[in-house]
Amino acid sequence: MLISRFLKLACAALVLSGAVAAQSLLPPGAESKVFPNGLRAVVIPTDTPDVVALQIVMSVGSRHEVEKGKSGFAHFFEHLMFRGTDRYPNDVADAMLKNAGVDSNAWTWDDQTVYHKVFLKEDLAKILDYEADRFQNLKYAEPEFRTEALAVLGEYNKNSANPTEKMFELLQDTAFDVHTYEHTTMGFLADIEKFPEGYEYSWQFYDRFYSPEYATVLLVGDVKPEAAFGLVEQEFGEWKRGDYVPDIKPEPPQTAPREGHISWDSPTLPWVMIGYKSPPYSDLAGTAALQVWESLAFSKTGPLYKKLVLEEQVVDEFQPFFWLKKDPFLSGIAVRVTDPTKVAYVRDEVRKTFESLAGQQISAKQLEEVKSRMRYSYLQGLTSPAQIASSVAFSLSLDPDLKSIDRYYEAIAKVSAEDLSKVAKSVFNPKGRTIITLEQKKEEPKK
Amino acid sequence: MSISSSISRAGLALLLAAGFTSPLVAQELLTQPGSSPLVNLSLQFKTGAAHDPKGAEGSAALVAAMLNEGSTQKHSYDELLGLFYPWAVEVGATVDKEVVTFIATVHRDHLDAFTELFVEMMSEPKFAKADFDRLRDKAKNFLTQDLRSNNDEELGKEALYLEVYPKSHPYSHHNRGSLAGLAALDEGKLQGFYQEQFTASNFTLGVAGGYPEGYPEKLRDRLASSLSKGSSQVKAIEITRPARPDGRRVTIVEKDTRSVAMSLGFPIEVNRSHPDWTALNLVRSFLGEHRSSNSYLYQRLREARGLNYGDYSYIEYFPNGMFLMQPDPYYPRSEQIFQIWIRPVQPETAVFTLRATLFELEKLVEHGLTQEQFEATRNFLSKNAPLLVASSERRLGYAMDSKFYGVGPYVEKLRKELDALTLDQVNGVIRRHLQAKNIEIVLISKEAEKLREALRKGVPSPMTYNSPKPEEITTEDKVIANFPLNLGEVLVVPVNQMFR
Repeated sequence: MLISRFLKLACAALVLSGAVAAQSLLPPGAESKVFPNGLRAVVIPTDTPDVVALQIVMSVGSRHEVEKGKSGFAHFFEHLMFRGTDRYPNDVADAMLKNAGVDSNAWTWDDQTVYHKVFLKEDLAKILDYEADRFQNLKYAEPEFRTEALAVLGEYNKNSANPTEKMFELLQDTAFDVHTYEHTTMGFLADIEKFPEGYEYSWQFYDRFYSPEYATVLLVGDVKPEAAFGLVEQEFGEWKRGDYVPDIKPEPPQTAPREGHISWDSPTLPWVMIGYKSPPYSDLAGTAALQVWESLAFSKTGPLYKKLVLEEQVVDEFQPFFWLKKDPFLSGIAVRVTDPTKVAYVRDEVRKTFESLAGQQISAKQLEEVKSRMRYSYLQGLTSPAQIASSVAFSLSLDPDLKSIDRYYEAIAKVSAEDLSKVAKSVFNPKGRTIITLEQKKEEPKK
Repeated sequence: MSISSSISRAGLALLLAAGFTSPLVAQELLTQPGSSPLVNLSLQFKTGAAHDPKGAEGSAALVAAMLNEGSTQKHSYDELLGLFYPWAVEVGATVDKEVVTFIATVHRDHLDAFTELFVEMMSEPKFAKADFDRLRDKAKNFLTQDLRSNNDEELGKEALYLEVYPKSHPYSHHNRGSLAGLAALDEGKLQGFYQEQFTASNFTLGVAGGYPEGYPEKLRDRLASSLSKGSSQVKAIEITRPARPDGRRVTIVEKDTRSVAMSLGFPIEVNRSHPDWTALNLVRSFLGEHRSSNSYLYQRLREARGLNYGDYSYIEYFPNGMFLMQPDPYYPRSEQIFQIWIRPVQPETAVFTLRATLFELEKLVEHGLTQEQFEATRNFLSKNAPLLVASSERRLGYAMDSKFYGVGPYVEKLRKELDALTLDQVNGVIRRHLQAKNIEIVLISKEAEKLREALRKGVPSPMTYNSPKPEEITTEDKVIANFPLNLGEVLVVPVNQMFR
């Protein structure tokens, strides 16, 4: 599946929620290891008897779809990973997973594909054996491949009634000219419709990206690091290292504001979406400052929510997006306008809010509160092995070094009022802005 | 887990003898102590959309919103948000037919300060005009935008419930209300509903996690003394079981959309307290475990044929299925329906898919499960059950639901009953509760008249694929293509007629 809106929020909330603490924010006992073939493994023991969460993090997503006409393929490939092997044909794998009561699924986004399972400790060896086999020996015939292509079209269809899906399509396409972020993870419809013809290409994709240097095996729950590393090595040790590096073209700096409009066929209230080109995850200081801005200026306590939602009531959906990405992406907000005559007004209010942030004085108390909030929301995310695994897996997909999580939180703790001003000045700048509006199609005048 | 009631049986008998007739429910307490620094709260009132007065549909949900997203006598909503902000706390509300539940998770660092505000929100709501306008618009937009316009799958599921329950039934409108009901409400009416329904004698409090000793009892007593005492005029509502539809009844909701979403179902007598629940739950899981590729319908419709993204079945209300991997607690109902959810299909395969679904349901009713299917599904449910309650928040929610139904702890009960179950019992339960003859069918589609004609004429719907299929599938497809639909009424409803 594509990453859901819920998961987007969860990833944002969990990973971003830095705490102001000197000690590591990872649960005690977390360990990581790099194997000779380039595979990484991370083990995090928790005191949740019997339950184990497994996530296999692949550093491949729609960002890696460099060839024209292949948008959406990383997500399609995620589906193919459930199509079986010689040792585990579909019916055998299904029976094994069913009898073990496993919760199993996967998601794909711009920078990553994550395969996740939750199960009982007694089934760990069996499940790792199955996982290792499909990552190394996947096998499917062309007819099954063509059938799975239809299921992906079904996924596009189920999303297509939602205006914001279409808005992100146009936002990314408008804001990017060269970089693969110009298409969404779902991909362009025209490309999805051509998936059935791509059987040969799918094996090329598997060879390129499903190699140990792209992978991290993460285990959280009732597991002991040493024994778990042993099992991972036993199952994945023979996996051959690859050497493919995709040629992802950097996006040249945007030099002027851009915009786009969608005329929507069915009844809808209008939407306004604004995105600004923002720094990549590797720019930790910039990323941390943006996360603080999101919480300060675009949460329910921020001035924009107060004005547009609570006081004037011209907006009823308020969805900021400040996602962590490998390369420069977009940060901004999508809002639904309750009065169709107020689109221009709302658009200008939102735009002005972003572009005036650089001049705002942030007090020490405000900074302290935002950091407190981040700390407590982080703690609230650590309540089950699956939740911890989701949070950590997302971080590892951006930087496979386990210590990077603490570095990120340290960056959050260090954010100062000057940093906020500096980042706002460079990011929330008309030159890097893209605005998309969506309105219900106007009736043709009757002749 | 411990359950206690703040009014003893003897005390209750005295009250009854004194002519205190209603409501009969006292405050109850459910506690699940744990070592986490987090404390989970769950305050449940035995009221909900089923209690909405006629012509004022949406009252329960809007009162809930006024409590958790509105101002109090002492603080504006904006001020409350500001106070909660550094603690990363939010008070959530879930509204269903028979219960309204407020939930929050708070670090024990802020438990005392939070508790003050929580009690204030529950017992001193302001019912301010500005909050009312904002929240009523939000409810209206939920119905017209989020359901009618933006989410064909949820629209189909909710439309199915509206078709199953006749207009006279307390379940016959959406939990958020109807557009006419919302239009007829004002702050005063809401306040009246609040004082009658969200009362000191009508709640269950659940507390889990690392709370200090005595905290749950203190909070219960504070709520009991600060909430409205209610009125003795409140009548209990009667929730009857609707008749199954006469034949296979189709409603096509017409809107401009790429694909066709489907939901099918009928009322069942089984809820979580029924002796057949565990067996019927096993059948549900076999036929269509939620979001799992490992169940029968999914494998026949998506895996083998690529018709859509997924196909699942349910025996309990399960909103927001497209955003959730596991069922959320706090939707307990006296009355439930059996339901099949077919995710959107390409319009040209819609009739075939509907036939295939009815064909599979008929086959299930006729043949039941095999020993192997029974055992695999039993193993799945038994091992998967602890994963449903892997956090203290969910554990508390499931315990609150068990309490509503008057049954034991979810995991223990399920596992014990699964262990004792036999294939014969399961197949007997299928024959007793499931059938494919009298069923409501909802389709969300463009060009509704065209679809209606195809359905009414029952013209064959042969399938073609983009790749060769095994003989087993092509042979079965021929049977499905000519499967007699035997439809009764086929109605077309424009989408803007929904939720009025």
